Amino acid sequence: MIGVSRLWPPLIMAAHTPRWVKARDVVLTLIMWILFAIMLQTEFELFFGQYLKEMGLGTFHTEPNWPVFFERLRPYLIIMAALAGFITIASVRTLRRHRRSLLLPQPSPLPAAVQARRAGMDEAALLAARELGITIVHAEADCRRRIEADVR
Amino acid sequence: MDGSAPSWLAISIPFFCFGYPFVMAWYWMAGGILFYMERERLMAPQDHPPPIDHWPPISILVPCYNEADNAEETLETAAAADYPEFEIIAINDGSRDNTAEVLNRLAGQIPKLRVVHLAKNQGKATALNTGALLAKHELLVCIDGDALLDPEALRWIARAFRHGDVGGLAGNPRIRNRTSMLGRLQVGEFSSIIGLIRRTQTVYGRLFTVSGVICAFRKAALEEAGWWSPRTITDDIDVTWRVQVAGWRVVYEPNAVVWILMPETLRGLWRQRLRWAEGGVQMMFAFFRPMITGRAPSLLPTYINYVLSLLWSYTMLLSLCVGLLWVVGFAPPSVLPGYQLIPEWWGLTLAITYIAQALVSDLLERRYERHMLRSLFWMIWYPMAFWLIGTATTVAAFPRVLMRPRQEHTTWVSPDRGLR
Repeated sequence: MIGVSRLWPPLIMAAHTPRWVKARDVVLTLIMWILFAIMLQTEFELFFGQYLKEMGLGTFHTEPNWPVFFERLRPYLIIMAALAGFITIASVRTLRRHRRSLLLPQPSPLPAAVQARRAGMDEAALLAARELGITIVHAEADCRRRIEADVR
Repeated sequence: MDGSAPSWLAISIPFFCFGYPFVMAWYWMAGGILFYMERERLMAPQDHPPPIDHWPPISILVPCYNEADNAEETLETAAAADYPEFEIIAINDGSRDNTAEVLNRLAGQIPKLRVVHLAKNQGKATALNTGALLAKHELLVCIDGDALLDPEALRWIARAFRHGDVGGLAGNPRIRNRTSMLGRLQVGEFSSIIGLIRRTQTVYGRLFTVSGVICAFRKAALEEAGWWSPRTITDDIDVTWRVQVAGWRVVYEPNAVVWILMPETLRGLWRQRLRWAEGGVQMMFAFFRPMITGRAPSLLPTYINYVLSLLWSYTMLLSLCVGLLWVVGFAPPSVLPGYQLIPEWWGLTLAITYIAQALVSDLLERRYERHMLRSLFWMIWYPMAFWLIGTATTVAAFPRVLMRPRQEHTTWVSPDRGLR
């Protein structure tokens, strides 16, 4: 066997990327985060405004209107609760089935004869083909196969 | 249309545009946490799979099309797997590069490797069916020709198949190439979206799809399901559904790790996502009858979720278009509500929800990869970049599938493998 000695996991990172491309990606992503943070200004003030005010950094809007918040989300929260209940019940059923299935006998392997018949071959020819190192296969549209040993 | 229809539309479209991703994000989080509480936290470390009574022999199938650059690394890594008895079958599907020469050379160097050359290019499904025919063992593990199998993955897969009703398994693909921002974004995407959804679906008991890049099946399950169909755009979605409709379970095994290459250009990403979206739409049509006739009632919630996601893409696009019309000064009929292009309260709530989802999934995924939380830095792009691409590809996929001849064979689409 060929000896395999390589770094694992086999990640490919920054093989030939110019430094400016890497810097561009980081800067653009940072800008996106900053834009996102700016859009979250109201939420930020609601959660941290009180502390910022105590630190003497100004006055902020710190009165969350939770009834409006939950009123907006109420239909979605109801659906989410229903789905959470559904997946929890399903998980119990699946886990039971999963554990019970360990006690099931292993299914019978598919006989070579069945596979050979499907491929339009006889079993002995199929078993012989399975011993070949290199083969050439002619596959027909109707699932039939014709197998030759590669003599190159 | 009666007088109440416009107001009904004006309420329901924004409700759905916001509500579907918002509710589903919390649903995926709940499922991910349940999966962790019930299973993942009780598991041994990923690199120390616990022993079992008998390790069943495994056949690894590696379909290859124009993989001359990657095949050697993939097959050497697979051959180095820590597992008692396995064989590797590389199936060269009429490659146009020198994959054939590379595989023949490797067959002389790797004792566990057998090579199958298809006389002509016939697509991944035919390659997999041929590999399965020539595989000696009942348990098949399929990896792509550019994927690197984790040394312990086979042991975790074998453990999952101790359960007699498990017919298929989805592994845990992890991104190798992280040179560009697109690559780094997909690191987070695979955990926060795909990983979390798979966990939730496993908790529920039905999977939408395995990943073709790392999956495993029993031959007996595939025989009942009708094997891989050469007529589907995404063979992995189709075979997952058929195995489950046949009564087998398909499970997610996050410890079965494989390292994969993903597109790092927008064009490559678009082509890949369009193919995935087309596969989803094709599944929706193919399994409509089993769903309405009640042949697989437990798959119905997964099916309905897919239909809703498709509907959401169209609704979202409509809203964005109306929003754009407002911005440029046109006033569309008031019956059509549009989103503000700069997110307001609803948009911000969605964005915060998404960041919470990314945080939960990255915390769960730390078990499989160190420094996962670093990927959070790039996630700010996700709602913009990937949701838009996801919406656009889904919208484009629907008519493309409708116009596609039903009996058409699919062929390989060589993806962009990122920057090396």
